[in-house]
Amino acid sequence: MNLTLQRCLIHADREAIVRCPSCGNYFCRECITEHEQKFLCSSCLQRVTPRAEPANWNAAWLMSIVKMMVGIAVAWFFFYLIGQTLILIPPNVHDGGYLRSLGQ
Amino acid sequence: MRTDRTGLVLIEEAVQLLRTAPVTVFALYCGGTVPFLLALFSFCTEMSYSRDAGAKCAASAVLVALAYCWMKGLEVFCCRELVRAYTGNVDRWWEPKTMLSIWSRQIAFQPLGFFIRPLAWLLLFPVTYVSAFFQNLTVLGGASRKDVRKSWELARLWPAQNHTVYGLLSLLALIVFLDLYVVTFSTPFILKTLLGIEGSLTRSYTWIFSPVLIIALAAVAHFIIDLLAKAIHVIRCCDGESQATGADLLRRLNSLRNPEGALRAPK
Repeated sequence: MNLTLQRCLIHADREAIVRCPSCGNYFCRECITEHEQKFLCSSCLQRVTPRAEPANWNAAWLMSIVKMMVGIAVAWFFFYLIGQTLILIPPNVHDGGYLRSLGQ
Repeated sequence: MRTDRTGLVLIEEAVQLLRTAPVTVFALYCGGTVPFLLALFSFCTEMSYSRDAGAKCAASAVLVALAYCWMKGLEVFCCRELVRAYTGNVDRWWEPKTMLSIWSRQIAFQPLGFFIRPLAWLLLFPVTYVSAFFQNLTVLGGASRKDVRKSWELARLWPAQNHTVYGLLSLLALIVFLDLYVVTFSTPFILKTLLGIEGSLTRSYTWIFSPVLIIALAAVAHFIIDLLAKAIHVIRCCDGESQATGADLLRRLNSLRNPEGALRAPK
């Protein structure tokens, strides 16, 4: 079918400039938009664009919080190991007593 | 972008970048590093000298871990400012959602470096890749999910340059550590000789072998060199990304149009 003879589905008084590859209807330049290198009408665009689900958003944030907690726990464990190592070092090493005893 | 750049040239460019960087970069870096270092020193001193160190260890480690997380967030913001100084691109990292996203990603990933880096050291060869990965993650921020994969891809870029840079930085860190050690050791004795000030530090020399002092000086030396390492990775990341975007060509064009920006643009 010749495109130049077609009218916009929404604006009947306007010439159609493109045919939506998804629904096959004709649209004017105002009713069409580009999405991933294809021209789509607004209703088809709404259908193909994934909506951000509030539940997913919450799940993502929950996951981030869990990861953060794991990260803090890993950091805590590392510093805890350092602390335990320092505790294991005999006090005479910290105050230099072992050096004095070596000198005597 | 120059792919034929040697490690030494890259270090020189990083030093130049730090010299032209705004004061915000240093303020953000110190704002994160100083509280962490203070918390670490306090923790190490408490664990070394306190009588009830064993009972306090777990609680005190939480404070140091939180200071570490705080520092990692501010390091990202510092790197964002360095990227702005290098490329001129304004990244709106101060928006609350972006900040929260960056912080959460950094807290989730960076502590893993405590255990992955020593493992990489054991195998020796991959240590530069692993260190570069964590530095790149700091530079890119991690606000986007793709940043983790991109950090690894950029860490594998120009391996000879990466190995040279890490070799030179390790040597530099050792020199800085020895410098700090000599200054710390000699200052009390110089004061005693010149001004006659005598204290517990001059009565005995044994304190210079204290594990806490060695940890403290090693940490200070690390953080002095770390800022230079961050500047190096800012340059590497921006140039690595330019391979796909051509942003370096636009920067060079801008620098030709605006001679004031010529110093900051890569040659």
